Amino acid sequence: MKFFTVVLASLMGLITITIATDAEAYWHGYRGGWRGDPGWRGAGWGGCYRCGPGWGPVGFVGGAAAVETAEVVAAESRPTVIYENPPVVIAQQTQVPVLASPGAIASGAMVEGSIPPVGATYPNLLPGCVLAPRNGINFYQCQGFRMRPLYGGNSFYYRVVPG
Amino acid sequence: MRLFPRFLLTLLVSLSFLGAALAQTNSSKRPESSPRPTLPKNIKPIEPEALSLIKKMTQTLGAAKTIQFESIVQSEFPSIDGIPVIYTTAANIALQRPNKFNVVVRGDGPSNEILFNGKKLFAYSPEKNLVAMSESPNSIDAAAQFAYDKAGIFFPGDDLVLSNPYEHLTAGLTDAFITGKSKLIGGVETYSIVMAGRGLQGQIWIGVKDHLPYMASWIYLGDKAHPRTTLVYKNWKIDSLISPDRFNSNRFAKAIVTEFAQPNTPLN
Repeated sequence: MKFFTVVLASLMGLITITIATDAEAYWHGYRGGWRGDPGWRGAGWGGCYRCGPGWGPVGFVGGAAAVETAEVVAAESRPTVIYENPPVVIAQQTQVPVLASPGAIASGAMVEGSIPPVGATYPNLLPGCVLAPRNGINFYQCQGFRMRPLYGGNSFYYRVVPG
Repeated sequence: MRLFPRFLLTLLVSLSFLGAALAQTNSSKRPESSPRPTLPKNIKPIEPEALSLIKKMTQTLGAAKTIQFESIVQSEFPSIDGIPVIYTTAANIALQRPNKFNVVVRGDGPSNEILFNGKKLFAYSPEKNLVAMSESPNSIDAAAQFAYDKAGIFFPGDDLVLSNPYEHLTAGLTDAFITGKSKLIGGVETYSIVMAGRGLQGQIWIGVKDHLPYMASWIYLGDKAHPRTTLVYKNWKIDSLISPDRFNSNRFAKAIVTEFAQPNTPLN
């Protein structure tokens, strides 16, 4: 019995080591083309409400999150972007969505007068925002919040920032 | 009686090992293709002739002082229903060794441009009138790696234009074989070569005479939906003169300056 249990333990240990070993770390590395990432989405554009998060450059914040102004304070403590969003839900929850552009419906529409949470990102500048540089950094001042243009994930996007 | 608790203890240890192993399996989330049937003895998983063609292609690209080509990329992503949707972008790429590249990407929306002029990395959008800029390492390989690390930037064909594309294409390769010739791809006669590794499988069409790639199509096994991306390469120009204006950043001078940042990373 003792011999059997020791052999069993050894076999389990061997399985662990075998599975945990990943000699082909190559696949984890730098990506593109053959190197292993399907994520080439190119320029950010919008317009397909049903296409899913693949339709665009970044993980867009959802309108549903953006319009819940009561949650803004709590949302500010969130570390970064909130991934979410069937745009269809946005349309149901917001009676009068104001779209940044025809493509914005796929990327997080927001209700007029609401303040999106810090960290929310949009592929297009929201309506009513004007360029307002501060300390040598280009921001856009919107109604009650600021957005900063940035480039990442193969496209430009606008991130809601504190201040 | 004394043996029984010891057995239980050992069994618990064994189960914990098994649990750890299973957890590792789940966390990797990298489904692989199902085990293939055993090949007949006279067939090698990696055919030397296939490797030879890949080597010729990469030598042709690796030896070029300048490279220009266009690429049409079609990538599948699931809709909210889970149905694959194909997205198409086009890219125009120019590279001048040792330290310059420019990539203009057009989609069905705003276009983007990436420029590495040997010192700085730029991303520019004419529609948004924005330019992101950053100091950059001074070689093409290092700048491409920097662009990826800094902002998740990669572009179609970037795996072909680095200094050692053969190494990139063959690392982790488990299978490679030639399916035959085709006259239907790229307007030239091509060899069709199947390639497979742990993370992806696909096919590449390489020109019989010029050894340049004209199409590639990859299935990504690391994604449970196994999406396919197909890249068409065309209008190759090897060692042709590229206008210095192509690598001149002055055309971005009137754009609003900003920075690179991954969408999901905190800002400085």
